[in-house]
Amino acid sequence: MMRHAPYGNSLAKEGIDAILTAAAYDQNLTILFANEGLSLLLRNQQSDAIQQKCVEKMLNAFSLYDINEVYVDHESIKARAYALTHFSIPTKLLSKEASNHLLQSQDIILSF
Amino acid sequence: MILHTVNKSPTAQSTFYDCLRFVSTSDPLQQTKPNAKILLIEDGVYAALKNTESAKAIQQSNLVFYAIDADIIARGLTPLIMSSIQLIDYSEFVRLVVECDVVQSWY
Repeated sequence: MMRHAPYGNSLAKEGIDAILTAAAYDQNLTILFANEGLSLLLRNQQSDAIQQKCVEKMLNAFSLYDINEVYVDHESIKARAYALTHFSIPTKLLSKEASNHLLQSQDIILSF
Repeated sequence: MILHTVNKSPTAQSTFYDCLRFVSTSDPLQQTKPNAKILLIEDGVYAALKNTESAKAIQQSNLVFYAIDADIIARGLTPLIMSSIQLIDYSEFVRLVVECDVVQSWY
């Protein structure tokens, strides 16, 4: 569950690190972006402007690692007036009810 | 059953309301048989202060709310907390975790 925006603190990057590590160990992963975490997905992040590692580039590894179950919480996207076309990787929109069901069906939730 | 833990004060950050918004639903089946419990820990216990906006939100929710008694006592909040909150100790915290399918930590 990715709930924090990138660059302000290291939580978002650490979350992506955890995702890629788990994927490297063949874990069955589902990612849900909610609240500030949606900002992680935006295209064209030029983080060298603030001398930080670009999180968007790390997202490109998702398809390489077969991470396809990537979801975005509908309420969060509405509150920020984002659209799926603003995002650099393919994602699926989930209603609140579906998001809750998604969480419930996991074995373990890691929250960043 | 999802156990949600919230550890931030509702007046410091939006975390508590982010959690509430996420779990609240207009689905009538959900409302009669909720699939979530909320546990206030650390600074999250401030959400249970009587007569606050967050107290109102808790009252209006159909979910069960718990709080860690040690965090309330530590902060001198004992007489100020809503009576409808279920106060639990750490071993009951463990029991809640075991009883639920997954835990989502809101911080």
